[in-house]
Amino acid sequence: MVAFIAIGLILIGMPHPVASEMSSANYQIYADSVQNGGGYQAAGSFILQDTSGELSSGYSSSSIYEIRAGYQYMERGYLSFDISDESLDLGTLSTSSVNIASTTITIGTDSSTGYSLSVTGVSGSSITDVADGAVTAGQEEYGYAALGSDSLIIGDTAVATGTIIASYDGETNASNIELGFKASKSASTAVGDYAQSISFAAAANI
Amino acid sequence: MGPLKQQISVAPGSADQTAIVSIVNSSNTKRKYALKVLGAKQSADGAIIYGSGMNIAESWVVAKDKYVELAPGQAKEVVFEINVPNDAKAGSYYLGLTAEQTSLKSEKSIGVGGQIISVLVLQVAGMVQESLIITETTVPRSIVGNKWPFTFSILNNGAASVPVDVNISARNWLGHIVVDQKVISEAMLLPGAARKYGGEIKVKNFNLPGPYEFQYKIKYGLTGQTAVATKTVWYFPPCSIFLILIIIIAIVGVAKNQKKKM
Repeated sequence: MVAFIAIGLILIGMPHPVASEMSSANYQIYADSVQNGGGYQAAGSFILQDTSGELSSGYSSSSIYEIRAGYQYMERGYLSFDISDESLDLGTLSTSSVNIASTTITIGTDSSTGYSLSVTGVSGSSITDVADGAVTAGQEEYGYAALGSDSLIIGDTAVATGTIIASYDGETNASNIELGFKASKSASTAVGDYAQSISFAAAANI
Repeated sequence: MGPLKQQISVAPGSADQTAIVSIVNSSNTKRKYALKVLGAKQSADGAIIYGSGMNIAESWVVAKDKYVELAPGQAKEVVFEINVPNDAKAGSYYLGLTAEQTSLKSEKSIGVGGQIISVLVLQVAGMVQESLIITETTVPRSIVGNKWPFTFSILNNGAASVPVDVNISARNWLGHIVVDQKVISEAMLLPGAARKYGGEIKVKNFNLPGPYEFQYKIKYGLTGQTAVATKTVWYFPPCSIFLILIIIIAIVGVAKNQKKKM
């Protein structure tokens, strides 16, 4: 009898490999776990979500796989994107100065591989693209500079689809990339209104 | 937006699969997002570029709703339906499921819009052959010094993405290996991607002068296949240049002496 009770206690205490994503029309549980301890506790501004007794939990990866074993390692991941100013005005151009209008893109992700920011679409009209790395007063040139620790852009560059502007190889709460659009005109620049729409895309690195 | 990446296995002709993406409007204004599917390709430096018309699989995945409107702080799951044609070739297809904020047309000179991408890897079932070729290798014809520069280009011409490891070794004319170095470790090459690598390997200071066999050994794929390319490079240690100069000076000196005697 004592032996049966002991075996029963051992079985109750053993971690059971029973866990999976469940969903219906009204709910979704993306991670659950059946183990021998832990749980959700809250007190004041503190929340504790602990587990114990899971088998072989942890994070492991290579270029061809990523294993997040165990409840604490489950994640769906997030990527956030914010633009400080979506409509920029370069004003009326002159031959004596470079007009500049700036906006800041802020990206956050919990991806262990980080993120990349690229130009995915350009439409509209513009004056001649900058080609010498710097928009200079008195010359007809248009482009942008990207400032920030994740920036891959050197100097002033033309707005072109497919350009990777910034990249970071890890988790980041808020990476800021300041885009400074610049334009200048020469005496021979054709008079007119120019407007451009540019799409920037952020994605987790593969 | 989440998940960041998802991988779905589908059979050719399959029409019952969906990919689900969660979107949260973290701004303090009501926002409308256009839901789109972009193709993905890998550039020569390894970056993933997203755009339209890059991938045949772009037309296989369609957002169930074209737009989603979210109040400040509201979250919603959006559905992308997957319809794989019967004649789809087996392999890996990389796509971007995007939510793009609408009403971004500029009233001023520049309108800046943001797209946020959830990566979808579609694995179409069937027989897949891993294949990679070395398209170009370059080393200088002759090298002086212990830093040996190199470049090489590779192309994944198979239908599956492959992890790649690259080793470079150099063997002298006696058959002795003077350097064997891993220069690339577990780089991922997407189907159709061509990548170019460059760098330099450092050899020890004192080596025999003469021809060296410079070998690129590329191990790739889950099947562990190997591609190899070799080049010949002539190596001259800095001291040998000094010796050659002394010999030339000596020859010139002897020739001058003989002229004087005549």
